[in-house]
Amino acid sequence: MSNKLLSLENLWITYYKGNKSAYAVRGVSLEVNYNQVVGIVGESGSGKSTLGHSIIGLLPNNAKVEKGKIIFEETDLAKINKSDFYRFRGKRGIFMIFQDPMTSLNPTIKVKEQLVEIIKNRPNENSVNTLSHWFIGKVNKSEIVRDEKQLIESLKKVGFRNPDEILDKYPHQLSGGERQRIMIAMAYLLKPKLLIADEPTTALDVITQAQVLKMLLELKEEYKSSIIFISHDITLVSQISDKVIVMYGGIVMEEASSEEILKNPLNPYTKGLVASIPNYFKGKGKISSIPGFPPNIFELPQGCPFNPRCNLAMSVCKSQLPKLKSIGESHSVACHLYS
Amino acid sequence: MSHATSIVEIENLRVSYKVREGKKIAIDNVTLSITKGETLAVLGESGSGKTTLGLAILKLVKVDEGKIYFKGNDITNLKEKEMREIRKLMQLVPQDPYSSMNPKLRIKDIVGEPLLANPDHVIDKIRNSLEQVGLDPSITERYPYELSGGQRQRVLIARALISNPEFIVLDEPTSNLDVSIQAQILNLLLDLQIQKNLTYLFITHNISVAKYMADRIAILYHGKLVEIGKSKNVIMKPLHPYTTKLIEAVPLNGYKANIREFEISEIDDSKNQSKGCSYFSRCPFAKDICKVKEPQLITIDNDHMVACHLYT
Amino acid sequence: MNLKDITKNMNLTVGLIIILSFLVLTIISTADLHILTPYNPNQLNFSQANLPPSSNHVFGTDQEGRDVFTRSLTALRIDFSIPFLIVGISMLIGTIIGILSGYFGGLLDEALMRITDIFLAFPGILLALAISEILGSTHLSLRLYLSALALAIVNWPIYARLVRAQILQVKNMQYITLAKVAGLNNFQIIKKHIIPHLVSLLLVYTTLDMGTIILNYSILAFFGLGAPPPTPELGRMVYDGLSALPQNWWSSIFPAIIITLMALGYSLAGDGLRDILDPRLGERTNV
Repeated sequence: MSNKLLSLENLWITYYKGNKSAYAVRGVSLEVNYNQVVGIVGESGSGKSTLGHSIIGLLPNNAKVEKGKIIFEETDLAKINKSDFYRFRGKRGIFMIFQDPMTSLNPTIKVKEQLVEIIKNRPNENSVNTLSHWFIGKVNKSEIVRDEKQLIESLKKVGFRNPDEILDKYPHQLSGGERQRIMIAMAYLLKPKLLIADEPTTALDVITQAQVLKMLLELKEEYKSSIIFISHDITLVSQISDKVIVMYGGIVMEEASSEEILKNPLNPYTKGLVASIPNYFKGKGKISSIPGFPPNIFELPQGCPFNPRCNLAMSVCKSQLPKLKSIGESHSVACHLYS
Repeated sequence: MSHATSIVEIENLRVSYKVREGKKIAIDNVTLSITKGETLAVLGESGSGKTTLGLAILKLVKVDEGKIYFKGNDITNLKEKEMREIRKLMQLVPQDPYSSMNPKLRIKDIVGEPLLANPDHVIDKIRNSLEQVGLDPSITERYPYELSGGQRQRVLIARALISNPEFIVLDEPTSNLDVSIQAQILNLLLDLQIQKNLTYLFITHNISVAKYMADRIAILYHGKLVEIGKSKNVIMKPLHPYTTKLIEAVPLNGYKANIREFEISEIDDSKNQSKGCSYFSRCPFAKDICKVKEPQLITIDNDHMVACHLYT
Repeated sequence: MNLKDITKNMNLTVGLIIILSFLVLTIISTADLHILTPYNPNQLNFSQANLPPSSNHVFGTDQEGRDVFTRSLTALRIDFSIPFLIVGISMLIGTIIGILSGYFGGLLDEALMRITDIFLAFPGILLALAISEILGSTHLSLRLYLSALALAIVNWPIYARLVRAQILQVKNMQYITLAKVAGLNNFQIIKKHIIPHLVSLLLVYTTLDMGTIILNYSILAFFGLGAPPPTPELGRMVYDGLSALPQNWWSSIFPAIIITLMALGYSLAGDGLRDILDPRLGERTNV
């Protein structure tokens, strides 16, 4: 049996705006093994968020998978109907947490009810807007937990000292950090095989952020989940990722272990990215910036999407898309400098 | 109290605002001064009062108690009319480049606003300002929606510079930007500071950015100033347990932070506490006295001050 | 431009055509009625009473032998223009109160909103009736204006609420804070930042409101609270013709159709305006 949990093969995803269309993801291939954390790093226009949404089948109406495969444990998710997707979400399937959990939680229902609804598989009459509809769908008949004690336990696990009080509150009465903890508590309960975390800490303060990272790490180590961690912050992602993938303008620019990518970035974009992050550990000296702006997917340049901003750009870069090439063990880069 | 070279000073400043359950204190008895030409970073989480501090100094929020000095003059009780001339010297670069611009106005209206004149009459100054921040002066006729986040932030900086200010409050100016753009903006701010001898109050929640930009760092916790000192000292030799925690939480480039060692539980019971140190409920070094008596700021060495009973 | 855009434009186009047609008719009617019709609106002629629509009398004649078409045209002088007065007054009052309330907040806001609530509770028709009764028959010619005033009084709170809501939204925008930092005083901020936001909102709403007011005023006229007879008014004409129904339907139905058509014109135009002026947020594709 293969070690692969998820395999994206030559994925192309299109966005439609009015009567225009553009590729947000262009020929991306990547693999996630069982019990592995993969970080996807990118800025605006990189396609990282689109990628994440496509795996769990939550692309907006104006986007669709044009080509390629999303193979999750031998099923190609790109080919199944939206209405059947629920079978792969939730318990022992795929789960997702977002930057702002407010949109995943129904503001008119108390926290307790929402959690109970999911764990006991009791669909709520208002289920259309809740997690159970979007993420869980019609969950497997077997209950996820036997009683509410487990609920309390999971809340304690994510740092709540007074879970009873929390259960009684409405989502808007909680802070962003608290809401995110609840989402992670849900992940603990569901024990998904794959958790997609899309900028889960961007809106949180530094300390809560570190805690969320720790919780995600525990999810991996205790429940053997795999995690796809999407963020714009390469140092953050490197903290818990086994391997890191850097995306720009819809393509994978570089892929390496988290140590390698910070110590030895090969792609000029990755290099620029790493060099432009202020690091208080370093002494004096200015951070170097990458000139220019991240691309708009409706106005992508020909060839390598980074070529307008790259100080090492050659003429081939302006006409041909670079292909991902393996350089050494588990380090690949898409750049004409290396082909 | 006033030092000869300080451009801004606040003394025992207290700002609060009404919430449903009563009153929330945003800034609690904060005293500090900013020297001309320096950058003071104010570091804190959301709710720490750091933004309010910046707004209070600019006289944009009502002050309950305390004093504000600008260039040696007490501006605490000045009326708006009297503030007009002073306002030209103290400006703000706000956090969100999207809600900070009236979408119905053109760039020239936005950049020229501090000059309180018809933009077409001062178009040269506007173009000049835009050039200084690395923007093409022809964008004066454009509307905000035509610009990217990074460009907008530069426009806001151009606007803050146009009245030749001496002091600028920067409220998380790069938080909403892509990392590669952030570096551009930070470097631009540094260059401008040298060129124009500006003094910055740099509000942020990002320690790395704070150290990169600032000469001194002030740490705010629940509206109280808990530590302040030269950047290097605060980061390398933090005194307050909260500062230590902040630093531990930041992932370092090329060095994995000790995530595994990190404490998860973080519930704040300070709301139920009426006296004592507000960090008490989260502090691993809490002593009995911490629950009862609020620690005062004391100088440890070389302008490095901390408010913590570990040092009293 | 896709299909949706054209349909929106259609509303506005059709609406405007209707409104402008009525405007032209009203102007001609006021200047020289006889361009359009040979008859006199108030000329009683019992021998010609209750004639059905024909080439002589396009809308027929009423119970007193007056040409319905002529009367309708004359009625437009009031029925087309009074709503402008009503909407104008209520919009002005409502906007000022809304701005004061929304921008300054605090006690002023509380006080103004309570006053608004009181006025919202007034049923316009009863108010008009009450005013009418109080004045009795001695000031008949004033009645028209007092009814219009009654409607304006009842109508302004909606504008106040609308404007206030918009201002509350705008007030919290960072650019207002920045304007204060720049040293603009309140008046300047309102003029530069707040008013432009209100313009499109008010344009849409007043257009839609015109339709409602036309109907409301016709109802008042129907109950005799408008201009004193024999001045023709569409609402009153509907009432006068009621007893002739259903056989001599034309003296009631044609005025009713005209009222409806006018209101429809404004409704369509308002809808079209709203669709066009609505801020196009664009699809933020979070890639």
